[in-house]
Amino acid sequence: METYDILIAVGAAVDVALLALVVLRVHASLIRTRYAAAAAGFILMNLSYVGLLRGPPGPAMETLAVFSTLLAHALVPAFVFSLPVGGRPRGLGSISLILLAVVPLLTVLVPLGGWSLQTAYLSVPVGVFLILCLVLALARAVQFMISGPLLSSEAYWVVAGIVALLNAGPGYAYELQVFGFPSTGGSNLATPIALATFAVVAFRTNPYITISRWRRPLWHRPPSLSNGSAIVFEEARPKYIGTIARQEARLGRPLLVLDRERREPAPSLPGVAEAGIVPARSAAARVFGTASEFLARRPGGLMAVKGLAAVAALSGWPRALQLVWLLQRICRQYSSTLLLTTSHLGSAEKEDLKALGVLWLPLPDPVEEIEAMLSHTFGSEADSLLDAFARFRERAKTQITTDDIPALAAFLLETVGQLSAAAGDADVTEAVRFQLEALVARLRDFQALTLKDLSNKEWPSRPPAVAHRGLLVKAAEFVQAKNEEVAVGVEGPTRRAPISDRARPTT
Amino acid sequence: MATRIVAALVRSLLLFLFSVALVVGFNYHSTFYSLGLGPLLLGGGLLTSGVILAGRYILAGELPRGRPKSALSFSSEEVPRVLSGAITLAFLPLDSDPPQAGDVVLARYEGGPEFGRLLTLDADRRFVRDITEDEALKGGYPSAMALRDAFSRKRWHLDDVVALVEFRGLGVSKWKPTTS
Repeated sequence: METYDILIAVGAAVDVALLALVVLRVHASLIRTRYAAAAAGFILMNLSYVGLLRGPPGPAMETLAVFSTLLAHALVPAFVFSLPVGGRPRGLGSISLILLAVVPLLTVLVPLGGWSLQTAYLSVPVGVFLILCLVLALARAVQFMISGPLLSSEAYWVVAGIVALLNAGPGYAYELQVFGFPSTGGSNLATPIALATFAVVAFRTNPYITISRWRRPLWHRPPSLSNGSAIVFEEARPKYIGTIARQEARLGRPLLVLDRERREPAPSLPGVAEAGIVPARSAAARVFGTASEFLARRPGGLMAVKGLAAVAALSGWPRALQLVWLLQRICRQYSSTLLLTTSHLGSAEKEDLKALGVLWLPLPDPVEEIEAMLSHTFGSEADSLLDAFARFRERAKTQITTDDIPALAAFLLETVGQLSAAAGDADVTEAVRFQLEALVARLRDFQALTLKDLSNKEWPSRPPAVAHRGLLVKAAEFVQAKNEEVAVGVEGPTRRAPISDRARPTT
Repeated sequence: MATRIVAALVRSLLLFLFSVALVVGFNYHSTFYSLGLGPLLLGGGLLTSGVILAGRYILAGELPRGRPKSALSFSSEEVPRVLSGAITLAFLPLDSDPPQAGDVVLARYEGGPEFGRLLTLDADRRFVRDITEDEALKGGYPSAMALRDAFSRKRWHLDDVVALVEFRGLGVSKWKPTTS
């Protein structure tokens, strides 16, 4: 058995290395804590086994070996139950506690019942307890595996680890008993394998960012978005999702933004956490791990997943869809709100999302709406004017959001105001100023629209559903009005350079 | 050539280790012979089947990344550039079930045979209008404008969403086209 003892000691060293790796690199506090507990239990179990054989004999060492064996086995389901799959059912926590509570009781009963460590797996109460612990963990892992594609790969690793423990623990003990060899009860050769597979799972579900371990009380101020719900913003580009999320964050609501590209949180919003989705197949699992950790620490918080399409691209749509379903569940559990965007999703994927029963809000593209308002004042120059503003802001026109409206208003007032002043006609300047002020007011009204207003689809780019008969303009009236415009000397836009080229901001 | 020899040596070494483990197991569990011929054949047969299956995967080069799950097709003009690593990005329509990150995919001639295997490193989605110059170059186009022109011939519009799959070659030995 010397070879076996050496292997056990080497395995304990590997266990220590794995423990250090997980403690240092895994951000999920619950998983990290329970992994550390299970690993420490196994290390203690194997070392006390070696100590029992090689060290000075004594009842204290025997008790320590029995206790550590029972504890290590009880901590395996505690770790598996901590995995973030569909929230954490409260019953599982109770089962973990009961198993842990039984450990000292059985430790006391072992010498009283005449059982020993060598017959640990063979005696009825102790053996049943040890195997029950592993079987409960195995059952939960199998449940993960068959519950959907999101964590099936991770569940496979958990199952592999527990099967290794079962083989090298009770399986090997029974085999040795059959052939009359001394028992290896109180040790397990497969602990490095099991801890390695558990570590794989811990890393694959590792949150992208560290959430402060301090658990805040439920955020209870009346939010503008209902708690416990999932809202899908149907928009071509993820714009309103960011705007609305920031509005909520300004109320003091904790916010987590998950996007493909990580951006630094705004300094004026201290409760905002932003995480970037790292390109890997485990993206969906890590997003779920991040969300679980955030919602557990910040109940009532808001989670905006701007990079759902990126998750679908990295992990596949089936995993992304199950991710949404599970996020919806844990948002209900923690009275939180989930915001999603349909940006970059295909039509079939949108239909799948709708089938989940989420709140669906079709939203306009702010660029189109702003352009519609500009064209009301500037006609065909609106497009080039918006292009000029985008160049001024050094960004693509498609990236303009409602948050840019104050800057756009300032840009218009300055550049167009300067142009009109250059004409040298006070009446023209006054008329342009009046029109600009009206335009800026319309832009600000649009910026102030709430989600409810927007969901009514009364967008500037949309004509009223029913035209008023009194507002109908006949062709003859239109031609007459145009003639009058020409008569007063209004130059057509085609005879002048585009207004955007003439607009030169001074800042 | 050298890489192929190293790969073959590594696979052979793994097979040898498996065989050694099997022999050690037989020696260590020599008492199993007392179980009788029937149980020995059943248990030993199952165990040996497992070893043979593992060996098959090792020899077929399926380990450690698994079987290819899909394929990417390239024109005969693109293949040398894919082989040389000049093209590392593919643009695919969403409805084509594009590969995910970490997948191994077959690299094929368009409508033709396989010429290698690729490991997908990254996957994302873009509007055609948002594809950058750098991405167009990685995809083998001289510029983003040329890419959009090529896409318009495929009837892809500027507001269409495409999947971007970044890849690298796997197994250098396979990067020599067997057919042309």
